[in-house]
Amino acid sequence: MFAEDHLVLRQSVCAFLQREKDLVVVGEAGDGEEAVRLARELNPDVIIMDISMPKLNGIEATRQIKAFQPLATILMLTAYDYDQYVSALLEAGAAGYLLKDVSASQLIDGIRAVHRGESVLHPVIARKVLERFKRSEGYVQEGALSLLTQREMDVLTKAAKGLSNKDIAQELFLSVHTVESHLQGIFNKFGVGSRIEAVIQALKKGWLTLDDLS
Amino acid sequence: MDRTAVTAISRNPHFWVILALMAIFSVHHYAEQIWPWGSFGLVAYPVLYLIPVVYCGFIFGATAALVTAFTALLIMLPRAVFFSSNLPGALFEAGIVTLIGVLAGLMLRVREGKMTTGRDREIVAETLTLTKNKLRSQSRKVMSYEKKLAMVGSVCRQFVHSLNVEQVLHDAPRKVSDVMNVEVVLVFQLCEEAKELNLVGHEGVSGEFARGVDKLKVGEGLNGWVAQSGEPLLIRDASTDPRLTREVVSQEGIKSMLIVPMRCEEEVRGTLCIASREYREFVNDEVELLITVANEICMCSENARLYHEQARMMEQVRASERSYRELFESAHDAIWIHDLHGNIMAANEPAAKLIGFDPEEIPGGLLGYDSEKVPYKPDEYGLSPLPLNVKSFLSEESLSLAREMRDKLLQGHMAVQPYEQQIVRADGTMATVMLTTNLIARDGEPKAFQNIARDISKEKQMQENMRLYIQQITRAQEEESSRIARELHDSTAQELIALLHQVEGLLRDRAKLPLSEAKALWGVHEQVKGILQEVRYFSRDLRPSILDDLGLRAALEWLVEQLETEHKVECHLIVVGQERRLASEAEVMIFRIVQEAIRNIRKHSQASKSEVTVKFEREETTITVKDNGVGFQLLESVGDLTRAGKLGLAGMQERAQLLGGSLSIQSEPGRGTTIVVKAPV
Repeated sequence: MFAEDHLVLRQSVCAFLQREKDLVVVGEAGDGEEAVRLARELNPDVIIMDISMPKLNGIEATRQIKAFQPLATILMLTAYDYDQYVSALLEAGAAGYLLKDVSASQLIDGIRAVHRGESVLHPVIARKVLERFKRSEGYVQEGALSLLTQREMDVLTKAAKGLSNKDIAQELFLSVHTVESHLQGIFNKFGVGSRIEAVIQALKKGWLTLDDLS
Repeated sequence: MDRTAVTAISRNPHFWVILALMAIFSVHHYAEQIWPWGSFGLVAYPVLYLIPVVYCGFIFGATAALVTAFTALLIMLPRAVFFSSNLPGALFEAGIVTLIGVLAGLMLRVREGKMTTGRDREIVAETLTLTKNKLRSQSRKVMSYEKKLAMVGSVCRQFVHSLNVEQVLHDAPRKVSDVMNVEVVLVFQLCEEAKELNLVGHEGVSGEFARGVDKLKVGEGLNGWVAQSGEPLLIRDASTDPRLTREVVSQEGIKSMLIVPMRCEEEVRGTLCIASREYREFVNDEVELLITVANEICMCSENARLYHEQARMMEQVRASERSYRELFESAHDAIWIHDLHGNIMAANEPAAKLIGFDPEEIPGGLLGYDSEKVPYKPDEYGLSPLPLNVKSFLSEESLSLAREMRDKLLQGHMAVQPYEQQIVRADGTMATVMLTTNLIARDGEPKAFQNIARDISKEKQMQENMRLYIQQITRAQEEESSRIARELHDSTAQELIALLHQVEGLLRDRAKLPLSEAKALWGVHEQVKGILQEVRYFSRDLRPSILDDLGLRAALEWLVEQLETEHKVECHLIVVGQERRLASEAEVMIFRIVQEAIRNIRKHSQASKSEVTVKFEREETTITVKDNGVGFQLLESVGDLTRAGKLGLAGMQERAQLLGGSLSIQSEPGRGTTIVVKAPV
C-alpha cells in the first residue's frame, strides 16, 4: 500500500512498483487519515508512507496503524534524514525509512528488505538512533529466554549488529529461510513488524545492550 | 545768690534807679577829672552816695545796702588817692560816707529784724512776683518748645503720610530749616554696602556744593565722623576745622555747624547737618531737638522704605500668582490640585474635560485657581469639602499607584516622573495619562499635591494599533513563508521527484539508448537531484517541516545539533516537564526566537558553551537560552534595540509579545547572555 498526498509522484511510483512481479499495490492513500482507514481494511504486507501529508502526518498515521496492527510493516519516505526524524518515526513503529529521492530500484529493494525482516537503515545511523532507546538501567538478561528461544535470541543479537539475513545464516550455520522464520517468530512474540522494532524492544527491555550492536 | 535771683533783681526797676543814681553821682564825683578844663562848678560831694545806699537798703535790704556802700567807697578811693589835693581829708570824707552807709545798713538790718512781720507780706509778694516771673519765662519756653514740637510733629506726619522715601528726604531739609531756624540743612543717607554717605536732601546750598559733599566715605569729614562715631558734633567755625576734607565747605562760607546722627533701631542710618553762615551758638536744647528730628526723619524714611519693600514684594507675589493662574488656566495639560486626602481643591478646564465632570455642577466653582483656597481648608473658608475626590476617577489599581507616589513624595524619595496612570472618566471610559505630581508645601509643611496630566490615550491607542499591526505583519510573514515552504515541499519537490523517477525509467531501458544519450540523461538526473536538494533547503529555511511534523522539541534538538556539529559550539537541550505539542503558531514563534538566539550565539557571542532549556508547565512554557560568550551592553527599551540596529533582538521581543508572553535579556560585557521567554501557551 502506498500513502502519498502528491498525485503525480504517487502515480509515478505506483507505475514502477506495478512493474515488479512480486509486488502488488493493493491501495493508494492521499492523506494520513485515508492511510489509516485503508491499512485497517486491506491489512497490507508493507505500507509505504510519506511523512508530510495533510490531515494526519505520516508519523501520527504510523502510530495509529501500529496501535491496531502491531505486526504491520511500515516503510517511511522522508525528505530529510535528521536524527530527529529517524528516531521519531522508529518510535512511532516504522520499520525503516528511505529518502524520498531514492531511485525506484532502491525503493523496491527497500520494500523487499523490510518484508524479509532485514534492516533498511544505514548501520551508522541505526546505531546512533538506537542509542536513544537504550535502557538506562543495567544489563538485564532474565526474562528474555522466557519469551524467546535461545536460537531466536542468537538471531536477534546478530540482527542487532546489522548483519543481513544471509550473514546471520552463515554465522549460525542455518539456512536463510530458517533465519527469516526465526525473525518472524521474534516479530510475532514482540508484536512488531520489523527487525528494527524488535531491536528497539529488546533494547528497551534491557535484553540487548549497545555493546551487542557492534 | 543764684542766677534766678540775679535775673529777678535785674528785672526790678528800683535796681536800675539805684544803678543810675550811682552812675550820676560817680560822674559828678569825677567831674573835675573828666572835664579838666572846667567842672561847671561841680564839686565832689561823697555824701551824695548815701542817697543810693539808703535807697538800696530800703528796697533790697541791709546786705544790698552794705554792698552799695562798699561800691561807693571803691568808686571814691581813686579820686581820694590820686586826684585829691588833700588826701587825708578826702580819705576821711570817703571813710565817713562809707561808715555812715554801713551804719545806715546796720540800722536798717536791726530795723528789718524788728519789722519782720511788717515786711513779710512784702517779701512774700516779692517772692510771688519772682516765681510768677519764673513761671512766665518757663511757660514761654514750653510754648516755644511746643511750637517747635508741633512743627516737628507736622513734619513727621507729613513724612508718615507720604510713605515715599525720596519725598521724605527731599522735604525734610526745608522743614528742618524752618524748625531750627538755620540757613543750611544737609541730609546724608548711609549706604551700608559702599560705606558711603549720600547727600539725599539739602537746603540753602548751591548745587555745586551739594555735588561737592556727596559720596562721603564713612569717617571722612565731619559728617563721616558723626556717621562713624554716632555722636553729635558741634562746630563753632567750620572754615578752620582741620577735619574738613572738602574744599567746597569753606568756599560756601559756612561757619557754625551742628551734625547729629540719624538713628533707627539703634543703628546709624545717616546724618543730619544744620549750618549757619554766621557764628551761632547751638544750645543743648537745640542739639536735643535736632537729634529728635533726625531720628524722626530716619524712622519715617525707614518706614517708607519698608512699606515700599513690602509693597514691591506683594506685587511680586501677586505677579507670580497671576502668571501661575494664567498658566494654570490656559495650559493645554490638565492641572489639578488636591489635598493630602485627595480632595480636589482646584482644577483647570482641560482637567474637567479629561476627568469628564461638568464644571457647572461643582458648587464653589472648582474651576480656576484661587491661592486663598490653596491649600484648601474647609473650616477656614467656611466651605464644605468639595464633592470631588481623586477616588472618583482612579481605579483601585491606579489608587495604589497614586498612594505609592504620594508616600515617596512625602518621604522625599526619588520618584520616576512623569509616570503613566489610568483614569476612569465620568462616562466610564478609560484614559491613559502621563502624570507629574509635585508636593506643595507651606512653611515646610506638606499641604497639597499638584498634578499635571497629559492625555496620551490616543498615542497609547496608536501604539497599540501599531503593535497589533506589527503582530499581524509578523504573523502574515510567518504564514506566507509557511505557505511558500509547503508549496515548494509538497508541490515543486514532489514534481522534481516524479521527474527523477521518469528519468530513471528512461535510464533503466538504457540498453535501447545510445551511450552518449544515456550519459546526458544521467547528467540531467543528477542536476534534478541537485535542484531538489536546493528546493528542500530553501523550503526548510522558510519553514522547517520538522516543526510541523515532529514538534517543538525535535525542532529545537535539530537547532542545537546544528550549532554543535556545524559551528562547534557545545550546546545542550534540556527538557523539563511533560513535553506536549503547542499550538502551531506558538511553536513557530518560540522556534523563531530560539533560532534567532542561536544565530546570535553563532555570530556574535564567541561562546564555547551554551544551553537551551525548555520547561513545559500546565499553562506556561519557559525557554531559556544561555551562553558563556562575550555578552553585550543592555539597552533601555525595545525601541532602542531597533534604533541600535539590533533587529534580531527586537524581533524576538515582538514575537514574545505576539505569544502574549515576555522576553527578558540578561547580559553584561564579558558575562555571557541569558534570554528567557515566558509564554502562556
